[in-house]
Amino acid sequence: MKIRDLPPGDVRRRLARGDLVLKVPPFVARLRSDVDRVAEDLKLLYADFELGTTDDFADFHLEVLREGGLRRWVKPMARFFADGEPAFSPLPAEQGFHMVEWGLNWAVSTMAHPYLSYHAAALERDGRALVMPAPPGSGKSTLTAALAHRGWRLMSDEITLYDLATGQVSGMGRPVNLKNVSVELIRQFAPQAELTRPVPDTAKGTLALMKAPEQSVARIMEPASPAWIVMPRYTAGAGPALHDMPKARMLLLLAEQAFNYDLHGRRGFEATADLVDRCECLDFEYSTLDDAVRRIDQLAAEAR
Amino acid sequence: MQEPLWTVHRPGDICWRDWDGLGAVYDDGSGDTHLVDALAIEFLELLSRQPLSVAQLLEQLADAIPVEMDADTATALFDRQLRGLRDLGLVTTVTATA
Repeated sequence: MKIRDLPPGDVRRRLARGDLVLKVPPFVARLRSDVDRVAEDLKLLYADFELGTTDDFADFHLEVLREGGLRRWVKPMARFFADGEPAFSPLPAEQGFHMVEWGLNWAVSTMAHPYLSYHAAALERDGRALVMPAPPGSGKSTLTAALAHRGWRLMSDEITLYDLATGQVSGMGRPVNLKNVSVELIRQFAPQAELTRPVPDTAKGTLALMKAPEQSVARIMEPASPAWIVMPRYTAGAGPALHDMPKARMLLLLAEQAFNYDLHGRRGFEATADLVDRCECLDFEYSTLDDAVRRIDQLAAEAR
Repeated sequence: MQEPLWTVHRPGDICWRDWDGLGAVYDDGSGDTHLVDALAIEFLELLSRQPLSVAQLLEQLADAIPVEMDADTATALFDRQLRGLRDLGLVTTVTATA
């Protein structure tokens, strides 16, 4: 059964009881929340995801709960808990689902150690994966959202999992984080994209989440062979330009952007070196989404 | 005074990969990963086999030194490079034994 198959009101009820079990392969998360916004966004963003049962083993137990006190009448706040422990400072309840997403990222990156997990987007076409590690402000998520609506399968926006045993990459088909002007940019670029109601005035500006396209979620279990590692760089006015990036430099970037590279020690280094060794490593400067998508499509076509 | 011999510091902890003029070195002791140039990789390759002095490194890498570079400049370059690698904890000096 998928989230979309639940009768009206059931997502909210399950969340309130703390028995909403969400399958985000390869993980299972058990969620609890009394924040209306969490139910609203979960129904939209995870509609195509399978539900588990309370008998399933859950890798993570995540909660977003309203804070008590008089302030709740003026500005409702919510707090995130992982396995019963508070993990972040309280935030306005309107950001409840962003807390679930950040919490999932945090849980995966701190607990999913059969994988090397990189702060990187991953998209797939013809069985080959495009991995995009990038520091904040590079336009990674915006480009990822655009590619996901132009024939690329969205594997991940935030966390790319690199299987140390198979050398394949996978994602969890989770939503794409959009900020500020990117929200409107994606609405215009892909009117079919399903976005949450934007949350204005957060510490990061206006936030919205874009649902992964249904066909991406349907293939969530399929890993892909990494073929390209591209560091996107939004530069106002720049034409789309791909340049070779030294593999050693890309290795350093991936190491910096990895969540658990240190934990894997030498094995993490060797695996990351193998990853860059087998991929084309590129720096990608762009300014418009149409041009950027065209150039990335061309890159994929050249490899056929 | 005898020239110091250089060697890889904690060789069991240090590993590296190189591609086209740039390399990455991982130090399992510190957990650090360093970006280094091709000369540093050459040093690590040679010093991992046996301790060598700057003069011996110059001799072994003679082909890699630009023809227009005089001996003093090359010695200073090698010395500087080795000190840089020592500061990163990747190489160290050892006392020569008779």
